[in-house]
Amino acid sequence: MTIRWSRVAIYTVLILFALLYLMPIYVLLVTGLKSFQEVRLEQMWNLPSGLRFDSFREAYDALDSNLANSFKMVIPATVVSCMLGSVNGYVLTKWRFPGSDILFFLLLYGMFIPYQSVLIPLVKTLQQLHVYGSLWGLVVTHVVYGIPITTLIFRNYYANIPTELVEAAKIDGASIFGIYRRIVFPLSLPGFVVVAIWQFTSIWNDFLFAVTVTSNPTIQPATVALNNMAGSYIVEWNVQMAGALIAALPTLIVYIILGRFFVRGLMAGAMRG
Amino acid sequence: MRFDGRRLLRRVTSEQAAAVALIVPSVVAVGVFVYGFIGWSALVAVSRWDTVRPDYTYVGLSNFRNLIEYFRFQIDIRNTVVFTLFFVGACLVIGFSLAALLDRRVWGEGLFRSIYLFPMAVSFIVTGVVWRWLLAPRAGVNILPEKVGLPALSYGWYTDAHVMNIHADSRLGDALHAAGLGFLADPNYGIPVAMISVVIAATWQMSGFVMVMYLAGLRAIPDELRDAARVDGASEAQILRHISLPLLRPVTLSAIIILGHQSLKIFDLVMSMSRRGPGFATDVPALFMFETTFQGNHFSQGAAISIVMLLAVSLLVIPYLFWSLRREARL
Amino acid sequence: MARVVYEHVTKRYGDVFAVNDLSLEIRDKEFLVLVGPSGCGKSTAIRLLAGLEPVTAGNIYIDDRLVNDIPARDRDIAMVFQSYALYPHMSVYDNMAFGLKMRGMHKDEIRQRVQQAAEALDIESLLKRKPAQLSGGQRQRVALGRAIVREPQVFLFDEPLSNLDAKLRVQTRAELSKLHQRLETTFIYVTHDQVEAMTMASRIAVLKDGLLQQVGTPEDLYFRPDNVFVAGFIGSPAMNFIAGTLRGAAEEMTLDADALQVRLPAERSRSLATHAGAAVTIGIRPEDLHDPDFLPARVRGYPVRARVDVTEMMGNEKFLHVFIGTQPLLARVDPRTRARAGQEIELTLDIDRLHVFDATTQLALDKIEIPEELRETPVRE
Repeated sequence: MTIRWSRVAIYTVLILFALLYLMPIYVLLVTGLKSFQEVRLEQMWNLPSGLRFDSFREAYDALDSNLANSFKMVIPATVVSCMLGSVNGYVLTKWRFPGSDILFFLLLYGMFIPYQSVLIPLVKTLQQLHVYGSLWGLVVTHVVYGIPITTLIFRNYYANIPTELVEAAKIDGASIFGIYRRIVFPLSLPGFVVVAIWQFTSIWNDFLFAVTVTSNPTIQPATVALNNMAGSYIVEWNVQMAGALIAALPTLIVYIILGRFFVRGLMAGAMRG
Repeated sequence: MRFDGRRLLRRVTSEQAAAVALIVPSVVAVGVFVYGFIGWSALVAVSRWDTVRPDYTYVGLSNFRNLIEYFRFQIDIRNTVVFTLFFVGACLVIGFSLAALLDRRVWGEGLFRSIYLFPMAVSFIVTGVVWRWLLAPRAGVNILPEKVGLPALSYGWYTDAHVMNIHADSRLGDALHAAGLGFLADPNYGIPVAMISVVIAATWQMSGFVMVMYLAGLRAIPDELRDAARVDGASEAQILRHISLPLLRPVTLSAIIILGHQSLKIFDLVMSMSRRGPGFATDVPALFMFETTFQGNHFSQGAAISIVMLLAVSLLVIPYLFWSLRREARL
Repeated sequence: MARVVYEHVTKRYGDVFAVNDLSLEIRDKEFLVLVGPSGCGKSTAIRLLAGLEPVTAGNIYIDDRLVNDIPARDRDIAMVFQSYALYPHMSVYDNMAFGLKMRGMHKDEIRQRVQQAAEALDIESLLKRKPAQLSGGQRQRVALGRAIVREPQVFLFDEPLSNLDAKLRVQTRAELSKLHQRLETTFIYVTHDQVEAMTMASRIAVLKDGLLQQVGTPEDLYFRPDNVFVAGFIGSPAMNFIAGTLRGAAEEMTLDADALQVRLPAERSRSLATHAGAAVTIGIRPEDLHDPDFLPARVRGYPVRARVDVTEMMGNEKFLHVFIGTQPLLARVDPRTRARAGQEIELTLDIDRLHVFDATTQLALDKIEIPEELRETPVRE
């Protein structure tokens, strides 16, 4: 069995990079598991002597309500924006009307804008609607600004459902709602999975809207709470690390369990633009 | 006959109406929350709203003019350009290299792919927190060499205020001066070294995504093309350069657009990692906008910054959207 | 001097033997066609030769040089792929120049070679275009051009005509034969179409399930197939096969297939005498069953009775689907025949063109002679 040095080189590089990518997780884990005495900057890379969960407990206490806030916000927002995206994608691919292409282009553009350019009016409007500072305000925000990307992903997905199916249903006498309910929706599961994962991750990880729309620390989602913790001078750095890991856990778990759909969606060109 | 025709016509229009009705809520929402608000921001940007109380007095483009002359904003532009170039460049190079390697029938490809991609799942805030400590001057990466017996690094990373620029009295500086471009030999056109740290963190987060895009693109190239090139006499490296890479141009373009528009808006990462940095070395327009609007109450200035950001992103994105939708229509 | 030798070459994928102990010698300047049904290993065989896959066992020699460990680009071969594999982002000129560029040839010499090849293939006007703007036939010629400019020792072809429409295929076959004559280089050609093999090859190698069945000139394979598979594969429409027994002794052997009884002529009986009593498969080509009213002069005929089931008018001939007893057969007869569906007719069997195969081993029990006028002088080594 001859050793091909090119293969050795390939694996070396790949493993090296894998270590580089995992390095931060290693530090996060190792720091979180150390006892308070062991936590010293100079010993950052050392393995813990035993498994202690003190840092995690302290971080969790601090972030507890914020994590709940994140969930309370993310779940409704994800569900609603998935539904909207699905219906929009359905209409845009199977029920084209004059101008639907231009409409789609205008919708897409909303995905790319810097949200700074709508922050001030957004705040004012939410105040008028009496949802400013509340989680519902955030839900509304994320639902609306999620419309472009969810529509895009569903549109690309539904483009692969043969139009003949819809035409056959039309001849059979189904209405536009009936076709959606009986034909398109049942076929949409993979699309929903991809969109749900994407939205869950994006909304959970969002910071800008969270920090703008909510100002009360008890209402704020986890990302904002984490940033506050990181910026404070009283909180120990190991607690910050533990907090970061806790805050990242939900999306990481989603990624590990459902990650293959994530990748499949990306590779299928959902992000082509 | 005629009766059926009329009924059909009514059904067709009612269905079209239903289709429109289904999509109208989204259209209205986006119309208001995106386009309406952009218009509103533009209005604020040409007003004189400088305190907690709204003030829509028209002042023309003076806010923009002030911005361009304001040193912090100039630094922000410089930082954004530097960040974009290095971030996009690094992601493309690393992403492509990893994809090219993974394409070679590697054991554990799935595992490697998952490892390179997982940073995308975490928030930029988390990334910022972690890399802040990894690149802290007295900890993290700097003390890693001690583990293998080498002396520790003493690099400043994001605390380093140094800006690498062409010095006016160097040879390159003289050459530029002779060409009438002397103003380029100035810290304003240099590379703030602290930004590199932010680039590292951002690349860690996004290069896996670029890798996946390139991997999908490479897989889409028919094997026969590469076989033909092999028989024609090309080495594997030559095949990558002359065959694969040119055929991947659409992927490269998409990656540049997606990364580019993200880097123009970068906020979360800087917020949690280094804030404005020493001497504004890592300050970015988004950060400036946030601070000046919500902490300084200079709403008009904030709006002006946001409009500039919008224009920059639009310059990048609108031609791309056109090109992309046009290509789809042709297929 | 570009002789190609496969020496006990085997290619295994897990449990599957794609190529099984192939030993084959291809002579310099030959046009050898590798033919067989899909999955027979012919494509794998030339991919091994091209260096696109490594052999599991055995040796491959190009021009008496062992090339097992030599990468594709250093084997001095050129290949035309089934899908042409033209680089879509390059112009026709760049496509043809690519291989030369990779070898560091000087720009002027590249230009000269590409020009020459383009002229020869009549694609000069297309040099600036991209593959997407060309028709199928044009792309095929560009693929040819790309191979020709390399001036290799061996040309490999992997089913290059299968993507062309029927008319273009016929035309291109002739052009390829002419090209072979002009270039005087070894051509190794893979196809599943036995018509291409018969019309273009100087020799044909038939493969099935990775095993070489027979190698020989088209006449060899047509008149003297080694086994049932080759007999049934070569020639279209395919040979009729009938199960039967060899009876009798010495000079009076009979083929007994129930409704069909054939008394063999003396010479044949003598050579088959040792197999008396054996179960055999009788092979008769449709073109060797004639309408007695239009019998060609040289045929020594043997009468058989048959019932016509269906007739098909082909223009220059008629196909008669007949039954002899319960045995279905196809006959190709003169179009003036008066045979009609449902009729009982008498057909004349060309007794000298009958094939006899052992039913168990499938091998030919004896060989008939190639007709005088089709015999070529044997090729000297």
